[in-house]
Amino acid sequence: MASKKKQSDYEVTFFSRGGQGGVTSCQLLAQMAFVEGFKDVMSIPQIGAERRGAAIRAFLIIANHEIRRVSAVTDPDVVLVFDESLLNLPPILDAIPKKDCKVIVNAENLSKETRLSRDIELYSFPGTSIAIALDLMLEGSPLVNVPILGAFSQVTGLVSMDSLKSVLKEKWGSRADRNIESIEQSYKKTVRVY
Amino acid sequence: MSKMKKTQTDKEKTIIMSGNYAAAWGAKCARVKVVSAYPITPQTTVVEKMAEFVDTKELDANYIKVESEHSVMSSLVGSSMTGARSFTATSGQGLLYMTEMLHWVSSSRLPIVTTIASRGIAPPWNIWAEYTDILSIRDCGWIIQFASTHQEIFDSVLMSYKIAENEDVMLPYFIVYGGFTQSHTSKPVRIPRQTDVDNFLPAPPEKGWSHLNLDPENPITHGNLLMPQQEYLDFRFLIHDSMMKSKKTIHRTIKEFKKSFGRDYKGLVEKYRCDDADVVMISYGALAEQNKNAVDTLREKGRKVGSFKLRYIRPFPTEELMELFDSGVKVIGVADQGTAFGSPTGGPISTEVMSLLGSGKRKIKVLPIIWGLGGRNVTVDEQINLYKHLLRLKNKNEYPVDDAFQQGTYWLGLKTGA
Repeated sequence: MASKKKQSDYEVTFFSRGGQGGVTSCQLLAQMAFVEGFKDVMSIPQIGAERRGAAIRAFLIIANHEIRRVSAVTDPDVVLVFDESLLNLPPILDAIPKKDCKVIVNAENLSKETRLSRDIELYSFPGTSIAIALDLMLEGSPLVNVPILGAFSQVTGLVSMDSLKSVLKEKWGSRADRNIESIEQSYKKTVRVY
Repeated sequence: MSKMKKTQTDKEKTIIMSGNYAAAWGAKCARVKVVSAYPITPQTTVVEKMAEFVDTKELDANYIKVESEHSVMSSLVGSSMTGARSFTATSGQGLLYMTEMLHWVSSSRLPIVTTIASRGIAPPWNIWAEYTDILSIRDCGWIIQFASTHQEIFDSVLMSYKIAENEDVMLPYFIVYGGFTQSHTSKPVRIPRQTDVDNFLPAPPEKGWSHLNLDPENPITHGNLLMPQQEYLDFRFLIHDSMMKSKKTIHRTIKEFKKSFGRDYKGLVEKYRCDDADVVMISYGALAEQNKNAVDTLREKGRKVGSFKLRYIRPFPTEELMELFDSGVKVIGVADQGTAFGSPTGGPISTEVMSLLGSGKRKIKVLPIIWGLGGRNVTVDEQINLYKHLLRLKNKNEYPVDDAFQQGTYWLGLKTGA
């Protein structure tokens, strides 16, 4: 992965809306990175107003050394966006780096004309249609919190599909099948926008 | 194919869990017999997890739901007096509300363990990492230990009962960690197999504690009124004396833990690259752990700096600090993540550390620091800058000149005129 610094750790920011499972996604990816062989991981849910539909942040640090810090993640290497409408919110736009960052957005057809910097790498994947087709729904809403991890694996190569599947199986047993199918589809369907 | 890591062996399993769950897992593996609970953020998920362990019968314990933190500790006084291993958790205002009963516990010499997910004190409301809650009750006769990593939270619960229940100690025990930055973040925690835990930490004596045992067959009166000429003063001395002597048990337990589980918690303090250091920062909690990164960065540039982590503040690590003062160190910083309004420095621990300086052999300059109040973000870069202030004090005898330096103390990130 291209890097701006001596890369012994990676920071990931998750932007989701309350009810979309962003915090769970962050927790799952922490386990997956640990299973992958990273020495240490730390998932950091942002605590604040946890309301359905409100913008929620979660952070993940994965490292090849012991993580000693507790300071906030402010310069992520990867940003996961659960819902392209989040890219209209100024606080979220402000929190996405202007360069040296991979931004992965759940969108069926993401326009190049976002308000994001052109000096980042922008990717999209059709998580919502994948979730609907596989009936990954919670209270009528499609769940993209697992499919987004397939996109993460494809874009970053930091965590293999084997590690993803192993954790999904451990968590949901035979019920993991549709989730595994969802990460395979999102892995294939993730495209670079620019 | 990736080379996937095994997260489970015969001897232990590694689970990625929050700091709060690490505390609950510790209490479960310690086979506590009574849990009393009242929820308060950011501690709540500790007692929620305990409820789950009891509900699923993974833990054989009585779970008591009460109406306040005061009642939490009152109910544990009762349970611990029967010899039952007793546990709870609290935070911030909840700890303050519990305060009266904290004295009842220590003065009854009951080995109750309580984990604290520390948070700022209201008003204004604040639920993020700050230690004024625990620091403000530091003199109530409980052992106070900071756990600065998730693994240390779990491990400390196992060690705490072994220390607290020791016949020479018989004192209650607080394990303290930061709200949210530790309580709600998740990291890998190694959970040993239960038989190894049971060997390290046997059950308490079945017939109860030797000094005090509630038994319906043998009724006793406890905590009576004592006249001034009676032994009130002498009991107070014994509490202090046991606290001071508990250091021996703490050191021995840390050694036994290392032998059983391989992890070494060193002692009442953990020194990091202090041996040849000119400048040392003394601090506690997770920010002390993070401070090691600042030390590493400065050491790469040849600066002789070190970090000195206080793991315990009660008993106070007097001998370890005197040893530091009598080494070659020239300047120390003492960083408090809590306040003591109107004290000599504004910070409780910097005041206590400075009280020892007069007994040292050499003159040492000190910069008291306040950082991270109410969960204010403290970065490694800021910690590096603090070391630069300390180095300037050593090299040029100059204290900081910016607005954060107030009445002799450096309030990191202070917005003056707020």
